[in-house]
Amino acid sequence: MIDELRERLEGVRERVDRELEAASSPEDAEEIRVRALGKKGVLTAEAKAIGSLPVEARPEAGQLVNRIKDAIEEAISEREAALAEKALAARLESESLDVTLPGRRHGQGVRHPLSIVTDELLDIFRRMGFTVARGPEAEDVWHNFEALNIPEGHPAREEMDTLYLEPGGLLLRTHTSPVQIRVMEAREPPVRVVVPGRVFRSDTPDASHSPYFHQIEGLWVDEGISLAHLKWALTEFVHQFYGPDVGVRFRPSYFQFTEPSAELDIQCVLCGGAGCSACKRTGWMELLGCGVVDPAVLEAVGVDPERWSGFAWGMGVERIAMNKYAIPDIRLFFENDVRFLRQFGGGA
Amino acid sequence: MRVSYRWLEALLPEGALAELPPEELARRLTLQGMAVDEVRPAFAGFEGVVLGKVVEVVPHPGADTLRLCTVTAGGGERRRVVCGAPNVEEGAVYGYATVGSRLPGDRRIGRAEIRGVESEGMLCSAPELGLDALGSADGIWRVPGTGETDLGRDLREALDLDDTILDVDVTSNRGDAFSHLGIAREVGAMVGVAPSLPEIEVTEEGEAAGDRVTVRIEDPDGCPRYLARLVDRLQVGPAPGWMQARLLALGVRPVNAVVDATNWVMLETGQPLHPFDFAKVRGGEIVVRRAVEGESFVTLDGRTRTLGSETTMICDAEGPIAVGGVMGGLESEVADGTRSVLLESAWFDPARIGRTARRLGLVSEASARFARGVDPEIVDVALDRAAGWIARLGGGRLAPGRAGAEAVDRPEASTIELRLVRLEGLVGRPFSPEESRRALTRLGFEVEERDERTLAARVPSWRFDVGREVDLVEEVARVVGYDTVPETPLPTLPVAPSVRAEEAGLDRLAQASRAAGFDEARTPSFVSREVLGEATPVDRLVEIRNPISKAERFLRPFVFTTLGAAVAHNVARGADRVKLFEIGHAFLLGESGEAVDESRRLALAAAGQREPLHWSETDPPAYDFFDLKGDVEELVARAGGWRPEFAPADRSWLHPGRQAEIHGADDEPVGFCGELHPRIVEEWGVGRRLYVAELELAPFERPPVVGTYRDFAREPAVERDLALVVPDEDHAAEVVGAIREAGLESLAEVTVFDRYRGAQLPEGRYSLGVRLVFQAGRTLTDEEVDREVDRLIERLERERGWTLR
Repeated sequence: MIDELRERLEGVRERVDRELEAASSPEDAEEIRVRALGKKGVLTAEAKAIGSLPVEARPEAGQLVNRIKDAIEEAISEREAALAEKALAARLESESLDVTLPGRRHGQGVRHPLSIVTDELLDIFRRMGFTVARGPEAEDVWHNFEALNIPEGHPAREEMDTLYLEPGGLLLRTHTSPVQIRVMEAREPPVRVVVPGRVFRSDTPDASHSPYFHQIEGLWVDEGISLAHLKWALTEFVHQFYGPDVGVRFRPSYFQFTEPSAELDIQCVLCGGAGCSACKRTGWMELLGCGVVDPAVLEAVGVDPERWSGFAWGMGVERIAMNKYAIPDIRLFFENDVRFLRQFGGGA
Repeated sequence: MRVSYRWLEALLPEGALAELPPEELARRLTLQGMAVDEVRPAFAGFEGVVLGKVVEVVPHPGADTLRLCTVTAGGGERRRVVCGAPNVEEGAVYGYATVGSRLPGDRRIGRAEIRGVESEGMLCSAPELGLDALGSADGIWRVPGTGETDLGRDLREALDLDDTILDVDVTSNRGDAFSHLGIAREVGAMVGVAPSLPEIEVTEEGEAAGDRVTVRIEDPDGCPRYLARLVDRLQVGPAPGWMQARLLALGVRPVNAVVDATNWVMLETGQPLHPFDFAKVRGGEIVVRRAVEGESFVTLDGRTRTLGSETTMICDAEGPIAVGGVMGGLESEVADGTRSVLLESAWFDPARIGRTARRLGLVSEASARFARGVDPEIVDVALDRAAGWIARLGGGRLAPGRAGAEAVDRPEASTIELRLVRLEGLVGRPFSPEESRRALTRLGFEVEERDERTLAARVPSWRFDVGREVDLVEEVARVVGYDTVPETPLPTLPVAPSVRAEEAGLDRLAQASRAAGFDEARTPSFVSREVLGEATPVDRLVEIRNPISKAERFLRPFVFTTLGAAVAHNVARGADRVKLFEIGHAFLLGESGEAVDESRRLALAAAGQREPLHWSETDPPAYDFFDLKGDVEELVARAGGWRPEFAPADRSWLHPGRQAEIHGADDEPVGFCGELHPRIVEEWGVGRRLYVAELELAPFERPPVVGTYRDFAREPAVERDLALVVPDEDHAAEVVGAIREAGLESLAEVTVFDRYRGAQLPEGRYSLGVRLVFQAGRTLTDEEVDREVDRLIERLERERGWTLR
């Protein structure tokens, strides 16, 4: 009787082994487990059947069933693990990608090259103690000319090539300097501002002219401010922006709203001062106009020029950007072709 | 202004320029405020050309068009030269390029056999010598003003061609420097010498000019000083070659000896002069008066000009003969037949000349100088010099004395005090009285010491730009050199200035826009009247009175206009996804039409695909209204920290059913967004749907709203989905709002998850799927949530007529 049982169980075991051999997935192995060891499985039935055996045969039969059951369980588990391993390998194989295909980008926007340059310039002046001020582009004659010591009929006024607006008395500001006046009208010295903004001239567009372009203007008014302070501040600016070895020279010039006035030249950024076509073989490039604030300007805003003095400067952003990035045509800035905009590393 | 180095040499004491060759002089002038843009040779290089006289001309045996000339260059030698020019004359003096000479363009002249006859060199035309404007290429150039004694002289030396031209960029305040005398004064200040005008010897004879011409000034404001001289018995011919050559090098086209002499003296002294053919001056009388508004006159360029009352007219007894200080008249122009010249030298009001020149669009050498100002003390000096030259060059007779009048007394030279403490304060370095005095004296100021620390400087007549102490400060500073001024660090501020909230807001806004995928643009400020088609707010466009382009003569009323055009431009060039933003100014005429309402705003514009092209996406979705709305929500949240609300809107330039008004944190309108109206899209030729938004900046110009900590429930939430059937006119936001305001206990969130419109629903109604999320600080039971939801449904049906689907 025990022998019969053993034979039957061995048969089950052999069948399970065969089935496992044939199994191709962990799921197949699980089915085999259910058939052999599940509630309605063969071995479960055999285990139940032990109860109907004579009492003396039961222990041995029990041991026998348990041994076979364990062996089957182990075989199934082993096979199951192997199959799982194989299945995972197959899945990984099937899921493999061509990692050289392009990634999915959401395309963050870029800064305009004029903004990149403006931000760089403003940062330098902010660190020196200037704060940013702004003003309207549609200006009145007082702020754009009169208060800046440019009276009606003065040649300097004509040289500005002003665009006038239909409501009389208004014009498109020809420079950012009217903001100097607005700032000083609004508050008492000391005044330390840097003014970025768009300005306008009646220039026909070509590679180096645009009727709208951008300037950055600065003004520092305090007690005891002189040409020597101007020289320090702007030399410092040049060294921070262009590098500490770039040569700088100040030469006398003329602006209605400063006196003494100066042009700041820097060593040509293209030839390093050796002389090239860009600097007309002089080795120098005109960078900006500057000067000590004319007392007439201070008087125009009710500031006592005997007590307060200051300096101011103004520069064109486009020209600096064109030099920095070797951009050949000013019109590119306002055309906004994305293939242009995305060239300057202006990411967030 | 073009400056001849040789002329400066002639005006300055001998040796003054010994240490200042042209390049060095240019550098020094630049550092003194007279920027030299260019230094170049006055004339093309050539060598071996001498003055040679043709003594005999015979036909060439082998060619009808050629002739054999016998040429002498002084001494006894005769050379045979073959010449093809039709104008060769016996007895005339020409530029003779000898054998071995070299002409411009490295053209070498050797012995040559021409049609069987050997030619020993060649006779030159003006263009062959690089003197293009002095003669035509069709014939050889008879060198004017040369004779027997010049034969054999090197042409370069005879015409003084070995000169260097300095292009000086004279600033608009320095009218006095628009002459060689003025530049020579600047050079003099540099080296410590004073220039002087070379003498011209003249003899006067006949009746005095003052007895033959009367001058009456009726416009003393426009022309307080008018002088004239008379030269009779002239033979008007060409000026000598050296004079013509120098004028040419200085950019003035030679005309005849009379005109050239006036130009010569103008370039020398800065005083413009005008010669009249005296035979055409009716009545021997000059009247200086204001033009009558609208008066017309034919100037010597042959054009009829309409004048305004700002103009000063020079008239004879019968009518106008010149636009004072600007241009002469055609009728009284000096020509070859002129025998007698009335030469004018006057002083005109700079502002009036400037206005006249602008009105007429006529910037002449004369008007440019008068408009900047001319030394009032040079008027008579220049007159005498030019009259002397005319008499000498034209073989004329100079009438004694000057005719003319002075309507007002010339102003006394002003004296200005310069406090050294002021000088030092503005320049930022110490100055001794000696150093300051020396600088000013070198510029022609007469300086006295008032006390140890104060100078008094008498301003020379030509420095009419100097009128204040600060002008003297600049003069001293530029003569000692800006390079002697130290660099003094700015005072350190006790506290570093903080970034203003407005600026920080702008930075956040730009950054948030970029994060949402928008590239920054800077678009033009000008638009046409049709920019938005029929929807353009034409009544509120701000117009430019003097536009560059007739079409684009208005300021943009919104930033999205030019920004949208930039998107269109990119689409037209094949871009498949364009998103641009700009922070810029827009302009509308105020309601009254008087003021301009200008504001700074943020604009967004997008067209094309939602996402950049990717290989995995075969049919990429297009950017649509909800992408735009999402971008706006995203960037407002990032840059402002508040939550925008959207409501239907009705702007005529947007798609009527796809646009929204954007409201700010306090429910104030702050902008709009939507799809551009298809008609405008078509007019712009975009070819794709174009989305635009525009926002005011004020809501971002304050620190972003940052909330404080709120506890969030850890207990699981209970969700219920409802599908409500509502009338089309009740928008989603209204449904969500009504649910929020229904006062449900524990209702934490309401979101729309579905919207359906279709056959199963009654006409004019749609179904909105909303998800309600309930949450409390405890575990909610299904029963209590269901009770709440039932109450809600009952209430919505009762109050709004919305039913469950």
